[in-house]
Amino acid sequence: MTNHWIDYKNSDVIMNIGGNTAENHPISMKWVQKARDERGAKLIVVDPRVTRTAAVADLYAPIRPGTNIAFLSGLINYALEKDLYHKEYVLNYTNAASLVNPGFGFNDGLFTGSKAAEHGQYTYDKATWAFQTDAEGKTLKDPTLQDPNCVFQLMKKHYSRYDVKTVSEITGCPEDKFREVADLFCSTGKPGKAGNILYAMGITQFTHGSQGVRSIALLQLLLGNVGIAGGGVNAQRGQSNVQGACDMGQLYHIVTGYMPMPADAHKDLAGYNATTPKAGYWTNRPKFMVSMLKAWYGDKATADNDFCFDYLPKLDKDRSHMAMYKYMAQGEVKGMFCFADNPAVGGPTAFRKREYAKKLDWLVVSDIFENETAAFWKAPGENPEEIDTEVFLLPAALHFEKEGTITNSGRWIQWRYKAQEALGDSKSDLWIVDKLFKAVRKAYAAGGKFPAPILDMVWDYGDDADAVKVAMEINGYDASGALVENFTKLADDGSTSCGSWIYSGFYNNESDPASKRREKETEGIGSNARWSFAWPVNRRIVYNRCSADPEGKPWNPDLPVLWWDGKEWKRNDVPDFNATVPPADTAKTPFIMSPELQARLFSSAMAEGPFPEHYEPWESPVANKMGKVQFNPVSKVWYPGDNAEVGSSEFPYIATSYRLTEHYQSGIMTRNMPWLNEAMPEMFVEISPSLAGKIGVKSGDKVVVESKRAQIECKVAVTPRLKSLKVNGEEKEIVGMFFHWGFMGLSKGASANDLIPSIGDANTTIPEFKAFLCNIRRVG
Amino acid sequence: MTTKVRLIDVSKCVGCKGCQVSCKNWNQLPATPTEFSGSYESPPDLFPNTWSRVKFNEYADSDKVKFYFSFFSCMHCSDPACLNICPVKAISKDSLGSVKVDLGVCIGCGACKGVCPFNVPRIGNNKMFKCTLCSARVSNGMASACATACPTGAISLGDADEKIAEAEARVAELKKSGFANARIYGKDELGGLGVVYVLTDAPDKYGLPAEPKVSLADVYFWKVALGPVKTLATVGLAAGALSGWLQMRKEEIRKEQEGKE
Amino acid sequence: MKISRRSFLWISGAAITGSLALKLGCAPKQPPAGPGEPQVEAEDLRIKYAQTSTAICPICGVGCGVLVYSENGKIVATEGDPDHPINEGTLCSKGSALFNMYYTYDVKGEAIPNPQRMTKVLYRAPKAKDWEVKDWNWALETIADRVKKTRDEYFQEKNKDGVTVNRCTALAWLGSAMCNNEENYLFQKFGRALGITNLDHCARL
Repeated sequence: MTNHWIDYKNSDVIMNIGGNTAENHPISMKWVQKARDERGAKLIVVDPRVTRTAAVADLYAPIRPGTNIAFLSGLINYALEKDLYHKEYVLNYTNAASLVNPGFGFNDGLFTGSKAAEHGQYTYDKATWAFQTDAEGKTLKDPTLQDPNCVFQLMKKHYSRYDVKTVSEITGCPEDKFREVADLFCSTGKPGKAGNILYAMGITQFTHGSQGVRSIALLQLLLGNVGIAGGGVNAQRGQSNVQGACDMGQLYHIVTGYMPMPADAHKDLAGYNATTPKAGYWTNRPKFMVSMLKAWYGDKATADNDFCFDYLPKLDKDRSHMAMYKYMAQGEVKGMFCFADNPAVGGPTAFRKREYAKKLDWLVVSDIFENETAAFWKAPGENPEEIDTEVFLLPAALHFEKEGTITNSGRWIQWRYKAQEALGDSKSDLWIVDKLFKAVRKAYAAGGKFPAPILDMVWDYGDDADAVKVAMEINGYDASGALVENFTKLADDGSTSCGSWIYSGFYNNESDPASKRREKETEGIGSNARWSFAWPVNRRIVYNRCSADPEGKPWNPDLPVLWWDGKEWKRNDVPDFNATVPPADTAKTPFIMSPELQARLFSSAMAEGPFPEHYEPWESPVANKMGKVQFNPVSKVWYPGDNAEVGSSEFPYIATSYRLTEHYQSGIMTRNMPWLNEAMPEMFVEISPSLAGKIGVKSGDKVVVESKRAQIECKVAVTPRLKSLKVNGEEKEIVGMFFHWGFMGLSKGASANDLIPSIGDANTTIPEFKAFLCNIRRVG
Repeated sequence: MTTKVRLIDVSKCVGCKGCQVSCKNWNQLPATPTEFSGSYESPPDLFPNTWSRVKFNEYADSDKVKFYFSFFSCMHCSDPACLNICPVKAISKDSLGSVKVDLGVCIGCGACKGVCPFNVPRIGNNKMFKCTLCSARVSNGMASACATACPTGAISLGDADEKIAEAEARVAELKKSGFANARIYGKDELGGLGVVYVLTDAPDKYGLPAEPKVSLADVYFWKVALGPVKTLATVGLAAGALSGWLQMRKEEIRKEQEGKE
Repeated sequence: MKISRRSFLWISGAAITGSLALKLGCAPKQPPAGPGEPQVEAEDLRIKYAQTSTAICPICGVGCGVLVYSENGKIVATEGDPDHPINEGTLCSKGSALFNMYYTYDVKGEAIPNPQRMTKVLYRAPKAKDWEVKDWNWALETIADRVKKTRDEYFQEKNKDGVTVNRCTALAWLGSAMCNNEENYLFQKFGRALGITNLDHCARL
């Protein structure tokens, strides 16, 4: 999230697309309702079905799963064509004026530089996705925005293809509904108006998920909705610490604080540092990397030995979730740790996760209930006598039986206290990982392969690991050995240490750590700066220079985030810019993390191209109306032939998956909570009355749902909340399903994720859970 | 303390069931086993261990699909039929407006269930169970568990006159913003209920009786059936035995009445 | 933060006085509403003697505050934290059900530890049809042995171009969005020390 939950109360128009905020983040509706009660705000919901959020929306628009980019592109085009964008903002705060290489172009669904690759896919040489520069390497600009090669004109050209009729035919959203959404949301393009977009996995879980997010960002930038109170690109995180787990580097491609993982190409620290961005705040990355190495290797890390840079493994290739399971299937992965994760229900093509686990020599699982991942050998139809995997199932303590921090979607790092001892032999994951490390270190004391990274590692959190000690290591220490104030004090000479640079400041005072603060704001715009700590440096709204005009006057004087009073910057938040200089000095550089120091309407960073383009999901009922390229041309195909053909008659229905308020993720927590089973007892799928008529079922009947990969059996709900959509002139039905069930726990049921293809986004590899093809029929 | 009213503003409800579960949580109620009912509504009814629930209703009008949620529990009537019929005076109404059952006195005869115009009381283990309006919380200045949990302010608790004024203002506001059928429910029904609804549509669309009535036939039946109960209860007959006797007596009277018809 | 009963009453009292009391018109120590009206005496709250600690809901990414009441070292109740600026005491169905993860009520209405909870270390040997109960020392030593065996067998110090890579692609680690920051930090630190590159968590999904 660029903003935070409470800030929703400052919005004028809130659009929930690719998310279902009332069901999956119910407390968000407190602040949505507040905006409606106090500001007369309007709520738009764009969703394939009438959800509990849509039920209370001012405006609901249906959309075919997998067509978010077409819908959002239509909105971008609408704003550009009807002149509804925020001109001063776009001119000053984005790279709209930058001139692009004249060789850049887009034809037949592909950007320039494409080259055919395996499985009908492509790779890109991004050479033309670049700016024109002067002799000194400075980007050329046209502040009139008229040059045909400037970003703004290229954007207009690209998006002109997304007219209302085309968008309606692709998305299935009726033209008049689309226009209503466009008029209402684009009304926030005026200075002083705040439009807020809430999204979640309904944007991201597609082969084009990242470009969906980027489409939201582009729309918000055009309307001047980034960096202001009540605005933002707000990813609503589905899990309580998904933000924090990412911040801690629990992802294959990064270490802590979003620093890239060292790779084979980096021979040494200098080689790694050579990839440091040349401009923007990331130029400080070497300080953060050395400080992390100092936190990990202490006195052993010296300038002479590259601060133990070689102790870090080098990344050879994609090692993400789907990739590692593929390597497991191929026999490369032999042993696995799995902490509080349940891929045997939650992963794509989930039954294969259970199948591939048989290839492991050993599997260590830590969880609070016996989950399907640990019990894969007990799955229906399995013969345990043929499964050789050793499984260790470690009993984990519950959340209120241990202490430490978790980070919410608004980046608030909040301390959680212990209320009781863990039950029986169960132990906190902190205790478990600490004891496991010590056991492994003991085993290596007698020798073994390259033991140095294990033996030299700083690991000193007490006999029973103390979360406070770990928190202080993450926060970091300055040259004097005191807790470091924040990341501006970190150095690249080995004098400072810091576990995750973006967290420095969250525990910088042992007696009164910021993450434990509990002072509720009594006046202001809702920042609550004295409640816990938000990374970075307690900033609640990022890019907040954009909340004021180039002269430092807030676009909305009633909701000032920061404002220049003629002498100094006054603040309702921590500035995301140099606030010691007059506004003119920062008027063109409000995005400090971007090397261009401006928001990038055009960027070469994405795999698919500088502008998002609509491609159909891997499994689609229709040919791509926008061009010859059917499907994301650079997405990696892990399982060729594992998809139903375009317009398949065997699998004629569009399928999508989602969640319920009453259950959670793979369900292993909530399916073991009787009150929640009472409130939502069983697995079911949802279909429209017209589809129900076609297959001859009524609510409560049993059905089989089948995809190219698997089939499941469960009950059906027939509901007018789902309706067929007119796509390219043809009525298309949708089957919606919940993915909370599995074969363990108090409430057992079929796993919808068995049906999902293992195909992912080209940038992030997130699987395409939200759009595929299926058939459905009555049982008996 | 003045009488409280629980205000249910369905226009703000998002159907999260925080109220329903919070009720079980505060009142320490075991889960009731349920099965898929064909919709999101679960449990399908009130039970001795389930004192409140959210009703889900779906309607497909010409172009708009309506998905309605409404909290349902004891209405805490100002003139409760259950209190009036109870043969052993186990039911009382306190100054907060809470209609309460004294479980030490209740014999589980079910007369209260029989006459309740909203079919709220549930009998289990020869006792009647229903919402207590969290009187322990409310008497300590806290809100009921359902109102405390509600994220959007769809359920709130407050002084009767203030809550009714708030409801009226909200209805006016809803009418202005296009909800032509918006109305208040519970203010005048049965002489005023302890639960007042702001509805955006007709009461029956939310599973509420359009004109709630205490059925005189039911009251008559129960009065006849319960005639001797009061005496028997005072001589200390065990509740279980009394209840068994009452079942027989009810059947007898039913047969008699059917004979007359 | 541990809050004593006294300070809790002050805290919740402050919250009630500040917000709820206005709505309810019934702050705890308010004088009788009118002469002659029968008074309801404040009943004993069942959490009256409980210790209160503050926590954050472990479900979604909103980060709602939760008050956890405990007596004699056992959780007796949970509810929304009225002082928390995000949820202001409110909670959804999952948040309201948190107590049920720890304890369930049996038919008599007695709170018992959730019978589904894991309380023992379990081990499943190759080809075994069921779990065996083990102790922690055995588990920690045995797992360390397996880790070392796999790592020593498959560790790669240099790639084919002679570049130091120090990785072990035979090992994999899935961390979790359900674990604390401090826990995930140690997963990553430990995992990288082992040379693990197959390291991810459910955010990828």
